[in-house]
Amino acid sequence: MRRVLRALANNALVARAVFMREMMYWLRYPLWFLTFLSFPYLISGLFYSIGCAVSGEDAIRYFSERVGTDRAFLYNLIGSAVMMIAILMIEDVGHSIRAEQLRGTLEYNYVTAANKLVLWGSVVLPHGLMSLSLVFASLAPALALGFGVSNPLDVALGLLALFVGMVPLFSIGFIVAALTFRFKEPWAVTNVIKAFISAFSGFNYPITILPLWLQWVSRALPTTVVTEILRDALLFNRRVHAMTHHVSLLAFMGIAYPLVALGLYRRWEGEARRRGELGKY
Amino acid sequence: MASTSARWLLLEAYASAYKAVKVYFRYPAWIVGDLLATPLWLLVFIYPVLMFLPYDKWRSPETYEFFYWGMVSWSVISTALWSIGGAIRSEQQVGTLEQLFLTNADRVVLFLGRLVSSSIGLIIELAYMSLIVYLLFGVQVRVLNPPLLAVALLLSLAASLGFGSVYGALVLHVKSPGAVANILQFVLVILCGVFYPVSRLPDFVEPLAYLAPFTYAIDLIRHAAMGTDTLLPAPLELAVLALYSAALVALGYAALRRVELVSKRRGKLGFY
Amino acid sequence: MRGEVVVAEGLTKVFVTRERRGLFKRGVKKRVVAVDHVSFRIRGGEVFGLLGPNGAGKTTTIKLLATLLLPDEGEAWVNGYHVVREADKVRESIGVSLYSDRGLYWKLTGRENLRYFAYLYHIPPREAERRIEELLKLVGLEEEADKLVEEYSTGMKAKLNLARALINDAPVLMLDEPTIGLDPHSARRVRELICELRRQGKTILLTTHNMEEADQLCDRVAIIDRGRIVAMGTPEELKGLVKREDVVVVEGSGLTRELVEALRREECVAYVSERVKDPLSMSGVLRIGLRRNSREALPRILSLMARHSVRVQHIRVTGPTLEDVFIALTKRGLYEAGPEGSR
Repeated sequence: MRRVLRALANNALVARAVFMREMMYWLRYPLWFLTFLSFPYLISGLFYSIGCAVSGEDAIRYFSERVGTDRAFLYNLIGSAVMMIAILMIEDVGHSIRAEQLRGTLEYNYVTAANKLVLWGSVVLPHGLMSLSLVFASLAPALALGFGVSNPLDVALGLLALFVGMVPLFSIGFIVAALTFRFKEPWAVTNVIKAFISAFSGFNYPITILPLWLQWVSRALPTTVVTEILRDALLFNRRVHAMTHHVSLLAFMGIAYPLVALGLYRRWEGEARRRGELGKY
Repeated sequence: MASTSARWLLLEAYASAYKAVKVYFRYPAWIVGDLLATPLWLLVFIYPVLMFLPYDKWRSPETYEFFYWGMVSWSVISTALWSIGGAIRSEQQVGTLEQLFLTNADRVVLFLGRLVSSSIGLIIELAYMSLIVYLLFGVQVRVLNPPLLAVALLLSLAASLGFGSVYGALVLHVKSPGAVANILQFVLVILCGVFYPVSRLPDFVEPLAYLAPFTYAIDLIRHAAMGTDTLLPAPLELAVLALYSAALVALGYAALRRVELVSKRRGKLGFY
Repeated sequence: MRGEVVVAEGLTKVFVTRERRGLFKRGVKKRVVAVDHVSFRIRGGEVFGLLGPNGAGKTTTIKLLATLLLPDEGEAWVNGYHVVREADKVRESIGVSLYSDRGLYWKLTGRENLRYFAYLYHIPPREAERRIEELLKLVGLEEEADKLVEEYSTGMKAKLNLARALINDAPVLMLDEPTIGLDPHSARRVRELICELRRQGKTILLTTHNMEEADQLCDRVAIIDRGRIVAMGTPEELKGLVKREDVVVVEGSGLTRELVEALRREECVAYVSERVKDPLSMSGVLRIGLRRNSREALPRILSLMARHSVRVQHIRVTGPTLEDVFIALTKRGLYEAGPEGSR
């Protein structure tokens, strides 16, 4: 029992160390906050302005017919906020191991007594917290300015769903990070994954316009599920607890994705240790 | 003396381009990644915009051509922000910036190489994206006036060089300019009419568009490719763009020189 | 008398840093005087050493002369050109090797790295290829010339760095810690190269914290500490400053703080400098400067060490070295950290 408690305490220390490190980097590059706060508005503004420029006064009518709401800006804003979080998570986590290699700190991390899974896994906490805060800070003005939300509880549950959605997203990023042990250049992979997720998660359109086989692919993405939950809660005033299908799918992803990521990480990391590739950059 | 200087400038430009292209092709994963990601990014922009269009526009070749040339124009703007600025940032991170500043090589030419590799990327992208648009949407991208398009693209790259030099000076100073670049990119895309004519902008915004050099570059590219109307007569737009490019290049030189001195005074040249 | 090729007069450089503590605290601004009114003159064909511990201001001094930093006070000339007003001409006159594990393009080969910099120094292609072959042979990198730098070892990168410093065949060379991190064989090879370059008539400014290297290579040495030059002269002149008798050098384990304090309290001991290599076993090297002849002092010292259970592996008596000069002037060892200079 004491051993278990001590292990828990040690892991908590490791998580705290990682949390502090990541937060220091965030806070010492404050300009990025500006980007993340404005990004959803810029993306939404871009689509909105293109649409209005091309279709004029009928733009919103067409949008409403396709999507089911005339609140086009808010619709895009919600999707763009989730897109931003997804890109952030995949990039930051995906490049984490490579960044350590380039700095020369990877081997130093490995020779510590820290549990490696806790070491890498703890990254989800600061990034999840920052992402959640940024989404809230980003969407709050739009919501407060009168787009209106009928039930604050559903807003909170929607954001909670977003936080849970971080786990499978983090797992995707972690798979890319583990790829570093094999390929050393994860940026190309993150570029493709970011593009894929951005294109097929239905951030700014309903996925029903995709071919059927592509809709199945889309539904396997955690970002698709999170976007639908948030939109239903904030825009269509559906109760989150009524979306059992979405919520259970997200919960399943929260277990399945990490298991796959763990398996791949263990395999590739083991190979890297055997080949002496840990510190090579 | 002038011919010696010109020869040296050519040698420096060749060295810079040679290095950038060599490095570019030694990251094959990047090239493959770009090839895979490009059509996906195209869809990221097409699908949301289709929501605002009538169904007949969904099947119109003009819609997709507009997007195609919009993405090309966006690449020009990206080149402006990420080529020279990106090259400086890369040199800072690799640790070679101080070594470069130990030479007397022209400070803009030193970072020109990335512009060359970006231009090669742009040419590949032009061909590749037209294939993607054909395969995904059945639309064959037209070019009505190839010589004018070539001139417009060249002048656009010159404007990118100038704008990029000014931005590069900011990168040299701030060390972490990515945040600003991301926001600026979107502002320019919206303001300069990348995906629509600037005449469709709200009245209070439209005059600002005329102040941005990329507005003319994009207008000329679209006119040469699709035969759309220009904001000003085409020869005048070419002249405006050429003047703008020259002014930006001069401003870029001055900015880089100033920031170099400030960095040396503060001792931050080698920092990243 | 050979002309002066490098002249520094009152060079001063102040950095402003900010201490950062915790997540949200901005921290206090701090001014650090890295180089404090440094003056020296280097004659043509001379190897001039700047010897000092880490953080003494050696690299900052080189960067000031190499036009990578602008001085806050003072002036300097290299090869007759002012480092600020005629920076272009200074850069044409110098070859610089900065201490760094970075500074090369990983995705280029050694040869491609040299070629790139040769062109930036305006060396025409044909001549550049000839020069590159010469240099690769000189530094011993012919076999690895066409491998990517990302596959190079630390020693190979150091050699490539040196080759790059020589690419433009400049009359003045500035070498910042050229042998640091190298194995003994590679370090010796680099020192031989430096001697060869001196024979060719190059003027060399060399920074190091290795006193044996400074003693072996340099015609004159300036000892720098906390941004100030504390002494300057030939190695022999500097050693003559130390009014000491012998120096006892002890290598062993159990060299504790208590032992060092006890030795310092001894009347016959002028100073003690310690370099601990292994904190677990407290093994390392002690340099004990004596006030009197070692024949008188040695029994006392040995008895003290026996009382403190020191396991002596090697003991010798020697004359004063540059490190002893440093200790005498600064009251610290070359390897002991000290507070940064501040105003």
